[in-house]
Amino acid sequence: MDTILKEWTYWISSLHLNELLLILSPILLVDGPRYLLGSLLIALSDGINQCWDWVTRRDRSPTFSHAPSVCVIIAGLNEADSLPRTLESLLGTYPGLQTIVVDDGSTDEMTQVANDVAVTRNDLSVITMPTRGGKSSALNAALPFTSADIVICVDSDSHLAENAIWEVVQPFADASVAAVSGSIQIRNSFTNLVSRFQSLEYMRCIFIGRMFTCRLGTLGIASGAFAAFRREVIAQMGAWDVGPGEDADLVLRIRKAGHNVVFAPYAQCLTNAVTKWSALTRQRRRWEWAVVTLEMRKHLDLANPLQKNFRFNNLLMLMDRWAYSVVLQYSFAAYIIWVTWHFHEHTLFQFGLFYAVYVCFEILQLLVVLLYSMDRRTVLKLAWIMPFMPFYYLYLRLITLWAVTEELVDRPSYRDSFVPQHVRQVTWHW
Amino acid sequence: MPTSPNFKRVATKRGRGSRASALPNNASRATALANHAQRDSVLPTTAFDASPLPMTQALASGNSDLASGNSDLASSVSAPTMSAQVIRQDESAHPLDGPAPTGRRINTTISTQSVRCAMSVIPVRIDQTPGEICETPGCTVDRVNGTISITMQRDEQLPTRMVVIAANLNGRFPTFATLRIADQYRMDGQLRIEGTIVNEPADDFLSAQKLSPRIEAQNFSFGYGAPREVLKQWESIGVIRRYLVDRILTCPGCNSIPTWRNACPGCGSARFETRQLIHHFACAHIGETHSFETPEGGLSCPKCRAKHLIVGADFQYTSGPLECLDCAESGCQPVLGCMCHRCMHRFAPSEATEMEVHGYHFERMDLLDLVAASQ
Repeated sequence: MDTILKEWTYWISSLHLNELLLILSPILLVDGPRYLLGSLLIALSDGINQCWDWVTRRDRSPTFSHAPSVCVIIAGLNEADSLPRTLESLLGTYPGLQTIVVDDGSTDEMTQVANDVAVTRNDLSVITMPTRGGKSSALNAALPFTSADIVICVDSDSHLAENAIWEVVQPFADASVAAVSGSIQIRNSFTNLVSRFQSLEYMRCIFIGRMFTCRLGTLGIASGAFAAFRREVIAQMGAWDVGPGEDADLVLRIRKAGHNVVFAPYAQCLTNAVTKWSALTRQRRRWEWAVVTLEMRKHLDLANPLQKNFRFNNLLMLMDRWAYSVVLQYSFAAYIIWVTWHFHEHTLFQFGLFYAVYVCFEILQLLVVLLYSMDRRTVLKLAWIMPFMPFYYLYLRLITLWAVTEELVDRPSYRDSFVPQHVRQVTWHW
Repeated sequence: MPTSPNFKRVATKRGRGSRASALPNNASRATALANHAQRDSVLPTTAFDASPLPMTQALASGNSDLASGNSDLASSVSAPTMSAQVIRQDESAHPLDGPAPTGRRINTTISTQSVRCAMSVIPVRIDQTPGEICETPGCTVDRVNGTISITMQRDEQLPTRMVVIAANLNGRFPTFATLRIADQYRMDGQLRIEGTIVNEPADDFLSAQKLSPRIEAQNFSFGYGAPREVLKQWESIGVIRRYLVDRILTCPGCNSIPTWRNACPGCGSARFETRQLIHHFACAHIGETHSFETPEGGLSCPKCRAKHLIVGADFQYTSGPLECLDCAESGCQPVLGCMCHRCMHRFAPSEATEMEVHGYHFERMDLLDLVAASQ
C-alpha cells in the first residue's frame, strides 16, 4: 500500500502543471464551477458583506416584519403515525395559522388521528378524499377551503424547525415572489450510512446549492416537503399537476408565468430520509424521471425566446438541468469508458487523483456548510464520512444515468405507483 | 288443632309452599305461586268459604294479636275451616331496615297468613307526596284473593286510597310496594286497612315509568312521571334511591337539551350549503362543479380544457367548503355545533354545560314475598 501511495505521489509530482490541469480539466471545468465555485463565491460574497456591515455598523439581523395570512396543507397517505408530530411542530407557531390535513384515501387511522387533534382546535380542518387520487389532487383539494394569502405544503412525515413559517413567508414581502422553497434537512441523520450520506448531501445540495441557484435566479424547484406559494397565483394556474415531480412542475409553471422563486435557507424542515439503498435508488430515479418529463418535454417552451414570458434565467435554469442531469452524465460515462478503453499504467493513478480532488472539494464544501449551518455539531459528527462521499456521488450519477436513459426511452414515470392507476391511465404522458 | 281433611290438604300445600319459597329466583317463585293459585282454585268449598270472616271480629282479634304481641290469634278466629297463626313479635324490629323477622310461626291458616315483620305504612297523598309514616308489626296476607290487611295504631282513617308499605323481609334491605286500599276499619284506637298490591304500571305510583327519566319534548329536558319535588321527598325518606343514568351536555343558558348538527364555524347556523367539487383525474384539478359546466350542457375542465368528461372514468365528485346563508362565511368545513330550541342559543360543544340525568329505583315487594315471609 505504501509503495502504491509512493508511486502515486511520485507520479503526481512528475507531472507538469499543464499536464495536471489537462488531466483534471473534466473536474475543474465541470464539477468545480458548478458545485464548489458557487459555494465559495456566496461564502466570499457574504463574508465581504458582513465585513462591510461591521465597518459601517449596519444591522442586518433578520426581522419578521411580513405576516400575511397563512394556510398549511398537509397531504398524506397512511401517515397516522407521523402526523401528530408534524402537527405539533406547526400548530400555533404563527398568528392565525390555518392548517388543513388532507387524507388521500388512507387505509390507516390518519383521518381519525387528525380529527382527534381537530376536536380541540378551531384552526385545524380535516379533509378526507373519497378515494386515493395522488398527492397533487390531495393538495389541490385543500385550496377551495382556504382564503389565506400564502399556502404552505408540508409533508406529513416532516416537522418544521423553530420559526420556519415566519422565515418562509418573509420573501413574500416582495410582490414578484410567488414561491419560496424551504430548506429540507434530514431528521434521522445517524440511522445508518445511507441516511448519513443523504444528510451531508442535503446540506450541500439543498442548503448551499439552492442558496447559490437562488442568487443566480435559476432556482427551479421548491421541495414538496416544505414550500410556500402565493395562493392567488397557483389557484389561477390550477395549482399542482399530476406527479411525480409535481413540486418542480408547479415551480416551473410559476416561473413561466413570470413570477420569481426564491429560497429561504433558514426556513428549515426536518424530514425522514430513506434508509435503504433500494429505496434511495427508487426515490432518485423518480426525481430524475421528473427532470426529463418536465425540463426536457413539458416545459421546454421556457427556453423559447419567442415565448411571451421568456426570461434568460429560465433558459439558464433549463440549460443547467440539461447539462448536469443529462449531457454531463453521458459525457461522464463516455469519459470513463474512454479512459478504461485506453487503459495504461497511470490510469489508476489518474482515478486516484480524481478521488483526491473530489475529497478536497468535499472538505471545502463542508467548510462552507459549517459557515452557514445552524447545527454545526451535526455537520462535524458527519464529517468522518467525507472520504466516502465521492463514491456516494458516483452512485447517484449512475442512478441518474440509468433513470434519464429509461425515461427518455420508455417513460417509466407514467407507470410509477406514486400516482394511482386510474389517474395515470388518463393523465397526459409528456 | 283441627284435624279435618281440609287441614291436611292445606298442610300439604304449605309444605310445597315452603319448598317454593326456597327457590332461588323470582321466576321460580312466581311459578310456585301460580301452582298455589291453581290448586286453590280447584279446592272444594270449605277453605274458601272460610275467608269472608266477620271483619270486625277478625280486626278485633288481629288488633289484639298485634297489640299484645304474643296472643294467640287462632283462638280469636272462630271460623271452622280457618285456623290462625300465633306469632311471637320481635321487639327490636325496625320499621324499614331492621333485621330479619325472628318471629316463629306456631300455626298456619288455610288461606290467610300473618307476616311477622315490622312494616311501615306510608300514605300517598293526593299530590303524591309521602304522608305520615305509621309503624306496624306485621300484616296478614290472604294469598287466595291477594288482599293484605294491616293493623296499625291510629285514631283516624288514612286520608288516601293508596299507601306504600315497606318491610325488610329478606333481612338485607327494605322492599316496597304500593297498596291500593279497599277498606279501612277503626276500632279502639287502631286502624285496620285492607287492600291489594298495585301491579299495573299505569296505576302504580312506584312504577318504572314514573321513576325513569324521559325526554319531555315541550321543554327539551328530561322529566319523570311525577314531579321532581315529590320524588325528592320519597327519596329523602328512603323509599326510592337515585342512580346516574347519563351525563348530557345541555344549553349553558337554560339547561335544555340542544340539537347537535353540522354548523357554520363562523356563526353556528345550520343554514349553509356545501359546495360540490369535481376532481379531474388527468390534471388533478379540483374545482366547483359550475366551473366545469359548459353552455352545451357537458363538462369541461377549466384547467386543461379536456372535454366530454365522464364521471368515474375522468372525474369524481367530492364535497367542498360550505357557504353560510346567515353570515356569508365560506371556505371552511362545517363544524359540530349545538342549537338550543328553547332559548334559541347557538353554541359550540365546548361551551355546553354537563348535567347528570338521574333515575330512581326501589326494591319491589310483591305478594309472593309476603307469602314467603309468612312461612
